Amino acid sequence: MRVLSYLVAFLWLVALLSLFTVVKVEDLMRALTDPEVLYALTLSLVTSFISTLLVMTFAFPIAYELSRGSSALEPLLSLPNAMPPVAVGATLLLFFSKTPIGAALNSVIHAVFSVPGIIIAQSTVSFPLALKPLKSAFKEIDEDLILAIKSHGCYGLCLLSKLFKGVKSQFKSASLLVYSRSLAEFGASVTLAGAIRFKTETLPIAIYLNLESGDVAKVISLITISAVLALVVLTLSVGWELDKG
Amino acid sequence: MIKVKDLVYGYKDLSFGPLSFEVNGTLAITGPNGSGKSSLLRALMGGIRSHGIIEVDGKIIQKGKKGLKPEKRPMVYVPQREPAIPFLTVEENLSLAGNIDEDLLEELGIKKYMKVKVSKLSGGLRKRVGIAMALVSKKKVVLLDEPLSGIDPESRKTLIDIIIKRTRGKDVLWVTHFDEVVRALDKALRLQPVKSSLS
Repeated sequence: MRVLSYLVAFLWLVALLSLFTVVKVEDLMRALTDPEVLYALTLSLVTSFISTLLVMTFAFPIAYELSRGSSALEPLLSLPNAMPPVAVGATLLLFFSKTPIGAALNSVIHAVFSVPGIIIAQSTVSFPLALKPLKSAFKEIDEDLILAIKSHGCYGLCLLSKLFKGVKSQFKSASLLVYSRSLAEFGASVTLAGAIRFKTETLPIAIYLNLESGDVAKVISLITISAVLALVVLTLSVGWELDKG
Repeated sequence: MIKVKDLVYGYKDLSFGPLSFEVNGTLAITGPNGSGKSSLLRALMGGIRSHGIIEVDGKIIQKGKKGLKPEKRPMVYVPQREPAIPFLTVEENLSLAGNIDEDLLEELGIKKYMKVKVSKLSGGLRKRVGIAMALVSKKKVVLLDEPLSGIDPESRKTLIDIIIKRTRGKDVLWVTHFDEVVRALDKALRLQPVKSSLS
């Protein structure tokens, strides 16, 4: 089993490292400091952070409700994660551009072909990822304990704030999962927010645009940044899991 | 005073009752395993499905299936498995329940553990924290589910005295297996797996 995991990791590492054989080091270094690359990096970090805040704010109370038995809505809430991201993006695009309610909302939040659209797309796609671990964590809390806390007149926000410490490690893991998924989000973002250079250009969108225009050095620099970011997030996540264990 | 009339309670595949009784003071709830003692407290709290009439000091808090939400009922509840919130400190638990009473903490022997997380305490100390939470609460009815299990026999008598002294003027429903508790309380209700009777 161990040999197999080393083999898969090795193959993936070979694929990643082989990228550096198709570009000169000086071209790569120049690309890493290119304004377009830095813009994509900044936009990705900021939008993913806002999306994570939004997702965790809503997912926390919703996961609590789902853990207490009212799970009829769960398939609907988890749908964006099971649908093709491009279908999620297209749904959002049509909603915001073709329906009266969506158009009214769009006139306020400017979702279509702009930065808020990226945040909406990232949040929609990554939201279900937060639900499952949080729901499982809440399920582990004894039903009688919750009743006892309520008996002290503590419910709603008070109850959730008391329970937070009990699910803190799962909350942190879920936040990292949402953040890494938001960083990687492409299909829904490109459909709703478009692929506009120096406007809606996140890291995955920048890879797509530069691959189309044939700028290999820039593509590899963007892939390198994406891989390093993902590795940092995943290592943190594994570290927290080990702490918990 | 609590009046319970024709209360049927339980779960999807298991139900208890109908049960009728009145409490004006302290009531020991006894019975073999599976007789619905803990479930009765949950039902009184509104935590599981039940129907019947529950009245506290002349105010109906449940009629039929409809009743006040757990947080609105004039009852404080100390469960058997987790009597206090394990991931909070003793101090945080007590702050949730009411004003911290230094004398009470001294009597219960938990004063020196105020900054300690409940999960780090022994089972007996956790029970004491749960008892302290119930005793500082302003609620008129105290529901205790085996609060003395895991407590050493020497301390049991002291804790019974503290609970009785500190709940004067309140109604107490106390699920127990200890005869000394039954003897110390005003009345006892013995539940049976199928039917129940008031002694």
